[in-house]
Parts: sequence; C-alpha cells; structure tokens
Amino acid sequence: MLSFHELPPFGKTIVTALFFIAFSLGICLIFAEYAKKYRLPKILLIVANLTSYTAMLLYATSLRSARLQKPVSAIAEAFCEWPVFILIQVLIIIFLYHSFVIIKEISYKKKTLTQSSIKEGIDKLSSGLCYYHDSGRIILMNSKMDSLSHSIFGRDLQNADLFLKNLREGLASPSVAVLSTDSQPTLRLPDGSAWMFTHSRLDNINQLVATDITHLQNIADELENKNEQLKALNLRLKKYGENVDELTREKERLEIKARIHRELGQALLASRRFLLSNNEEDDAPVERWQRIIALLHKEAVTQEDEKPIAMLTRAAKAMGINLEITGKLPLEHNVQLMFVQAAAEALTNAISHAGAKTLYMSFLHDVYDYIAQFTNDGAPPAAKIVEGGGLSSLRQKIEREGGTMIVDSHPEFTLTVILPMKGGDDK
Amino acid sequence: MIKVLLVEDDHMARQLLEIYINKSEKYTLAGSAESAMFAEAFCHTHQVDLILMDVYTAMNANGIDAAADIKKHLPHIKIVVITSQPECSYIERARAAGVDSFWYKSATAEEIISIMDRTLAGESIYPDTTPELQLGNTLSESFSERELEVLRLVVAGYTDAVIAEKLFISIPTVKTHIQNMKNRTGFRNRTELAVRARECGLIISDRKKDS
Repeated sequence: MLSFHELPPFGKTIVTALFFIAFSLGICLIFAEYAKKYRLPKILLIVANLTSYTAMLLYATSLRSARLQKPVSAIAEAFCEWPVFILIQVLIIIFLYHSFVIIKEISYKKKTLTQSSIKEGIDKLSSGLCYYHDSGRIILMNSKMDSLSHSIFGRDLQNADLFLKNLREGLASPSVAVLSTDSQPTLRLPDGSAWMFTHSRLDNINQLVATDITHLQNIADELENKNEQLKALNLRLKKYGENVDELTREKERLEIKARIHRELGQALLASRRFLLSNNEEDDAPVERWQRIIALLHKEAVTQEDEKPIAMLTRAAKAMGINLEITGKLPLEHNVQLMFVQAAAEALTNAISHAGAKTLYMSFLHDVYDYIAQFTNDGAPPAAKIVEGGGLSSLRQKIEREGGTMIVDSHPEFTLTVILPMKGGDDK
Repeated sequence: MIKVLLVEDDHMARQLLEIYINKSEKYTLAGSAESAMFAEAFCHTHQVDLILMDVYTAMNANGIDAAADIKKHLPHIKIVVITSQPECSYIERARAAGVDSFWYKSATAEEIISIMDRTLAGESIYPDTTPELQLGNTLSESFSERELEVLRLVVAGYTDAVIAEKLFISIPTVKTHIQNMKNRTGFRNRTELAVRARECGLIISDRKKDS
C-alpha cells in the first residue's frame, strides 16, 4: 500500500493542504454550530477537526523533516508510513460531514428567524412597534416608532415608558395636534397623518403599538362635520317649528276671512232675493247682516295686547281676582312665559282651593337667577299640598328649563319659581 | 241657557265663535280665554256647562292637556275640542284625556252648534279619520304609526341617535324609516320632509310631548 513517504512532493503538499482546508472549514462550522441546542453535531465537528489538525500537523512535520533531511518527529515519521488510502478516506468522510453540516446550516437559516430577520421584518411594518421593560429600557423597536418619536418629540426614543407618559400628558411638539390623551393617545402629525398609540402588557414586558388611523380619523372628522351641520340644521328646524306656529295662525285667520267674505256674498244674494221677492216675513238676510256687522265691528274695535302678562291680567279680571304685582317681570320672553304659566297655576290653586280674591306676585332677580313668588289672600292649606297634574306639569316645564320650583304649604300657600339667567335682559 | 266657556287664542276665530254661540238660542257665553291655562280657574269662578276649546292656545298651553286636568277636577263639564290642524295624534290624545267631543274648525256654525248639542245630550263625537293630506307624491294615510312617530321627532329637530334612543329602535332603523318616507314623498332631504309635514299640519310639534 502506498504511504505518505512514497507520494511525490506535489501529492504530499496537496494532501497536507486538503487537511488544512478541512481543519479551517471545521473551525468555521464549530463557530456556526456553537449556539445550537444539539451536542452531537458539535462533538463530531470537534472530532473531525482534531483529526484534520493532527493529520495536517504530522504531515507538515514530515514535510519539514524531508526539507531538513533529518527526522524531526518519530511519531510523524510513523504516521507517514500509514497507507495514504486510509487517510484519503478519512479526509473524504470529514469533507462529507462538513458538506452535510453546511447544507443543514443553509436549510436552518432558510427556515429559522434570526434576531436580525425579526428586526428587518418589523422595520418593514407600516405601524410603529416597541417592546420594552417596565423601566422603559427598549428590547426591540422598529424604525417607524423611532421616526414617530422624532416627529412627535424631536428626539430618539430611548425610554419607552417616558415616551408613553409624555404622550398621555399631551407633551408633544407645538406642530403636533393632540387629538386624545386618554389610555390610547392619538395625535395628528404635521404631515397630516394621525396615529393612535396602544399599550399592552405581554407577560413581563410591555408592548407599544402605533397605528396609522389617518383614514379612520379623516372619516371621523368628516362625520363630526356632518354631525355639526346636522345639529345646526336641527336647530334651524326647531326655530322654524316655533315660527311656523305664527304661520299656522295666519293661515287660520285667512280661512276665517275667506269665510266672512263668503258670508258677505251670501248676505248680498239673500238681500237681493229679499228685495226681488218683497217677502217681509223673511228675516234671514237681517240675521246674516247682523252676524257680519257684529264680527266686523268687533274686529275693528278690538286691539288686544298679546303679551302673556296682559293675558293673565285679562283672565284674572274675568274671574274677579285682583292681581298685586311687586317688582318687574323679566323681559326675557321664555322667562316671562314660564312665570305667567306659574301664575296661572297659582291662580287656579288660589281660586279652587283657597277661595282667594287676590293673587300676590313678586318678581326679583340676583346675579344668576330670576325669582318669582306667588301667594294669595285665601285660606291657608289644611294639609301639606300634594302636587297633582297642574303643579307637577309646571315642575316638569321649569326643571326642563334648568329651573327650580318650591311649593310651601305653611304658613300659607307659596309657589316659588327660580329660573337661571341666560342673558338678554336689562335687569 | 247653557253657559259656554270659549278658549281660543286667535282673536278673529274667537270672535267668530263668540258670534256663533251668542246667536244660538240655546247657548250663552260665560266667558272667553286666550289660553287653556286659565280655563280651569275660570270654571271655578263661573258656572260653565260646556267648554269649546282649541288645541293650540296662547302661551303654548295645549287644550287637550288642560281638558285632562279639568275632567279630573270638574268631570261634569262637557268639553268640545276643536282644531284647524289635521295632526294625526290629536284624536287619540283627546280620547285619552277624556275630551267629550273633537272636531275641526273648518265646520260651519250649524255643524259646531250641532256637535255642542249632541255632546250635551251625552254623545261623544269624533271624526272617523283625520283629514287626508297630500305630502309630496303621497297621501298622509300611507305613513305607518312608526313612521309618524319618527317624523314627529324629526320635525322636533332631534338627531337620528336621539330619535333611536327615544323610540327604543336602532339608528339604521330610524334612517330606513326616514329614507322610506323620502322615497314615497319624493322630497330630497329630511329637512324638506320635516318642513312640509309641519306646514301641512300633519305633525305639530308639542314641546311637552316631544321632549
């Protein structure tokens, strides 16, 4: 069998170089496999490397001996006597194993996520992402989150806990619009994009996600605008509803006028018929004319004051009740209306329960409220007044206007109404 | 003579009705009031056998609500409520308030006096239906009860969310009702629908009822 010594010098160098290559490759693979979980591949690589190293060392020593022409090491000389065929086989096995490890490593790299691939992956996310410890120390963060930190605070994100705290307190750059500072802070950046930050806890670490809600925010803004428009529209509709009451009355008056006009025409016809027939017993035309004249006469002479207080005065007079007013009725129409409604209720109670002849009304105000008080000269209530239909309906109306109603039964019936001042009065 | 209290805010209508009453042989005017809120007090100070009362009276006082109070304290007084408004809910509300008779102001003097006669005789006179109203491309009777409820709140100026909350229905249901009404009437938007419904008298906003 051919030994190393019997090889030509070129063959010796090639074999030695192949063992050197196997050794070098083995060293690289050991580093690659070092962090892996399984031990066997690592042990096999070490064995292969030791074999390669030993063979390389012994052959190199033999080559040195040949150059010096004197034996340097007896072990090396003995080793070189071994058949080269066996060593070539060992070399092939080592290379085959290294090839297997390399293929496995490539496959592993393809199938396994590394830290850098995770970083690369999250950097490509359109959302901002940051994982951090309770202290705020960042574990992993993508470039979007860092860029958001620059846009919002003008600096790198170094402490995520502080970053979130500042977001929740709305401490952003002046160019950033803070839309919400609650548990999910939302901001609009100078470029018009809107971002919502959501914090959650994963086991013992914190996750902060920044979501681009520009589209959602634009829709919400549009919806808000539409709602504002709708509110304004509904307010106009309410105002219209109030004005249309007058329009309805006008329509009603027009209908009555048309009826009078028709009656006038009929009276003229009846009169003509009466004159032509000369029937003196027919008094229908006279009745018709009396009715029309009465209406036209009343219409001409009556000019009634339509102010609520004037209506109250007329009604009280018709009932034989004297009104004694202290102070000045506020000029605000709603307040005036509410006070006169209360007066009407007090009037009803004074007549039906107390047999009163005079209703006392006093109006005053302080800085914030208008106050009206109603009493009467009738008999005081025998027992505490239980609010019925009229009083409870009045209470509802007053409370709907933000006011207060107080009913006292002793020592005499007193109805007090307090309404908040909304401006518009000269006091 | 039967004593009548007339409650009507419009002076011309009031004068016309006063003449009808005074010209009749059977009735005499006990008094007139512009607002329903004075009606009960008047009945305590005067002998009144019958009240002829408008629905919508001065100072936002509703004749039907006042009638309910009067019927509670003075049940012997007959009440005839009259209106010029075809508001669909008035008849139902008048019945619930215990109003003896209900009619429209468009009636002639003879018809009104006849209704008063029959009411005193113990009859309860109510129209079978509300006047039919043209609303856009459709008639008022084509609206369902629920649609009228929604329309009433639209006229009162409430948003869809508030209407849904008040009627215990969802917002999409409110939108569907409004859309259906717009489709049938041919009106372009809710404002036009509300304005026309209010103008023709199908819906009269009642702040007390609608709030």
